[in-house]
Amino acid sequence: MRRRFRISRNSKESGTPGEHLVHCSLEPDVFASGDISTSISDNEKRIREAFGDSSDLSVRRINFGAYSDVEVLVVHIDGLVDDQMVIQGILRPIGVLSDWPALDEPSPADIYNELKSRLIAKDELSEVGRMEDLLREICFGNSAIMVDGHNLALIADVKGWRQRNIESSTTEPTIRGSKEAFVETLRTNTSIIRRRIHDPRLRVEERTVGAIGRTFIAVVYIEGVAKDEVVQEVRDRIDRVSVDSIQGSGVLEEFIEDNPFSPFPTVLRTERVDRVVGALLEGRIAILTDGTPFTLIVPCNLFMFLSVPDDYFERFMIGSLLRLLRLFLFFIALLLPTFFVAAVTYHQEMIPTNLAISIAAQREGIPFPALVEAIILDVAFEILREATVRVPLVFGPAVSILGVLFLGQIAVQAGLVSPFMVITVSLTAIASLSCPIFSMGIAARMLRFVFLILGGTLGLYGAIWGFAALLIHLASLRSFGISYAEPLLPLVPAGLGDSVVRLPWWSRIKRPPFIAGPNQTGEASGQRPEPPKPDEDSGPKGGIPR
Amino acid sequence: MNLLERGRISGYQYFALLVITRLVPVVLICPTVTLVNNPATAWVNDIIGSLIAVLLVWLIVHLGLKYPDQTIIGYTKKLLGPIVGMLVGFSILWFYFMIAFSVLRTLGETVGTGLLEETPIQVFLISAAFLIANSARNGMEINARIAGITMPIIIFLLLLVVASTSNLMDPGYLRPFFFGEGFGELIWPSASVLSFYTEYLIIGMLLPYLNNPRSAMPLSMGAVLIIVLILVMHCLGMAAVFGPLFNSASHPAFALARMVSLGDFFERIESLIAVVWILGAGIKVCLFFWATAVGLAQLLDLKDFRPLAYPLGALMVVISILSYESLIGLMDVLTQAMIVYSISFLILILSALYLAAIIKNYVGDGISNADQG
Repeated sequence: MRRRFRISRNSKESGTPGEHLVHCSLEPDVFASGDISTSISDNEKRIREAFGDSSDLSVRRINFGAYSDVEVLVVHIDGLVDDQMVIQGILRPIGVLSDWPALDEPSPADIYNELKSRLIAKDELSEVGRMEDLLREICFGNSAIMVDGHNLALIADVKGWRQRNIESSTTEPTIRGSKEAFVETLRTNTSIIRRRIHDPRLRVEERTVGAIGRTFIAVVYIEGVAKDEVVQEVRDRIDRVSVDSIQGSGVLEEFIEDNPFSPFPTVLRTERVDRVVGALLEGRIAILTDGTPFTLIVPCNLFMFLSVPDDYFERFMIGSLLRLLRLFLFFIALLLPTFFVAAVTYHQEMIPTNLAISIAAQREGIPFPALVEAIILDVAFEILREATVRVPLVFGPAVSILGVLFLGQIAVQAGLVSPFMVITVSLTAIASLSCPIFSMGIAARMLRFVFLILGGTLGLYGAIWGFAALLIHLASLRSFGISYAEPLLPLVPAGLGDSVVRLPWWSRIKRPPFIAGPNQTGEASGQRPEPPKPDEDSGPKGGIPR
Repeated sequence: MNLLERGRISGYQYFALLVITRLVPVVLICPTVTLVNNPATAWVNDIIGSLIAVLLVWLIVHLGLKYPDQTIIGYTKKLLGPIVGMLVGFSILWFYFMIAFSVLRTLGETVGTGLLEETPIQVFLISAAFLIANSARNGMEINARIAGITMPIIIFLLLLVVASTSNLMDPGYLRPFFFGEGFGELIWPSASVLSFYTEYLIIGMLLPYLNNPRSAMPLSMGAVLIIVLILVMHCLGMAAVFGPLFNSASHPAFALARMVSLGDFFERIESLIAVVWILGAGIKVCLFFWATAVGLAQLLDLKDFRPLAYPLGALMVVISILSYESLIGLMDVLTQAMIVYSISFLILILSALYLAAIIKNYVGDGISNADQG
């Protein structure tokens, strides 16, 4: 069968949402379009042709009853449907009904209506009249039931397939947070969220994206907490996407993010349920994609990437201190080698004298300038990191032993790099890996090289220049219309309680003012635990009662 | 009148921009100090200069509030007519531009002498101007946001410097409080303090972009008040630490920061000051550069100010190199010619505009129209 791709160039101009599905799709099949025929054999042939005799297509023809020769056709895809539900809900009722004497000399329409009211599925049975709709429903995992002589088909929702169990998150582990992480099935994921927010105002809006893949995307938010215009913006941006298929939320992220050329991620990707629920309660919006456990959260800001759920579950003092530590680590990952190289190359007077002498002694005989040395070590670290992630598990120890030996010891002994540089670069590497959200660690790692070159050529001035450029970039960056570095750039004192530090829960009366919608009060005031006030009538005040 | 710029700044950001504008010369150089003979009386100059500045700032803001939806260029054109308005507008823009390239040059000289001695100054001027032009091109919102977080840091560092040099202070240095050459010796240093306040002519450009223009008066006065407090405190600190050597250092404020040493560990605060000063100076240049670009576009009735950013940036670099021979020359201009020029310029501009406003009001077409527009 010849199929031709037709990719549209003007997908943005398509008027109504949904119309874009026509673009960028396969040429419609002759078998797969048009009305459903009254002849059941004809329909069966068309369906088989449309699927090209795929082996997982399950077609069942049943003769309806002893009193008529009307045939019923049940079609679904094996493996996408729950076998028990098909047998109990569809095949058995058909068998029981066909022996029912009340249906004497039934017409096809009678049989159709009887089936429609008697068959059992999860939802209301729906009916379709077009062959392409029917084929799509089959692909989604529904069962189609057709009656010979009638030109409509019943669609029964009997979806059911093998899925991974809900497990703990591997990429974002926590100590005190919940162990649940999202799975690949969209419905399971929405149910996990529902289980934590028992309120009908939690909205789950589903839409399909992709002309071939037809991936389900769910936009989840809390009505009244999220800003309406941001929700509408999310809907619009998703509706504009016109591709073959969305495999993974990363693809969707690239289509809907604000600034594709920024090193900073403006969409937060997480597989942790508590992170998503927390964001929803702040008025943010979660975008769930079928087929991936990674959920997108928009709009997000810089500080969300540096926080972990543990900050909220541990007591607030350690939560705040860890926040500050992580901010510090981010700056180390970004700037430490730059400062080291700048100080060693241009501003020796800034290093305390004793340290400067020992650094100079170690650098004696190193063949490279400090900048080159730092870049060599940084690249070597990136190689090690990439290798450790990609090599099969059995080779892992070999890679780490070689890395430790070569870089940590032999390279220093051979006089290729200085020990101080090894310390600096390893500290930087550890700091960049400790970023709670991987994509932010990537931003720091990429920018580090830029800063390194600036600091190596223009010294401290280069570092300041780069930092100013970074500030300008961050100040202009937006995530779905919300400023990216919001509580700091611009300075919003009310938002600072949950950015650089985390203030106690009882002090966070308002939701983040720049995110939350009309109703901003998130909790009652005056909940700080206090010792009970001494009773005025009984006993001496302040003393031990006798 | 087309404002050419969609950005809006909050009251806090407006305040921060004003404070940074005035504090940038103070943090590093403190030029006034070099004009004073008796360290004990230096702070009096700060107070006198600021008191006169309160009047000038009040006049600037009051004029701006008459036309809260127009920049100073807009109402200059309106009040003075097309030809005179054009000339006066250009002179205002030149004033802005002069501040921009002077501070840029100071920035370049400071980096050149303090951080990288062998690198030609053009490297710093060009790279900084590129960044500044880029930021100004993206609108003033970005600059205002960065100012919002830089201002508290600058103030905190200044307080920290004064607080942590308190162990070195000798109150005895503050004692001989007299005016050896009569009260006449107050005039010149006070004028120097005042001359830096003339930069607040920038309020004329900022005011229409303020979220709530009506709050401009208390915010501007608050900025002056905060600055007076910091100036006096800083000045007293320097006088008490340095005593007779008060006015011999070329960068007295920086020298003060250099003295900070607590427990042999908490040192090198001056490099932090240098970093923050460079950021602050960049913000100040960017503010005045942006004002020049937007003002020029409004003066010439252009549809967009952004195409002007890079050419003006290149011009700023060239003029900043050509205008001053060295840092010494720059300081000479700042402490002599600039004082006379800027104060008389501001007084002239303000009196011309007020006069025109009064006449128009008398004739009866100027202000009533403006209020509607």
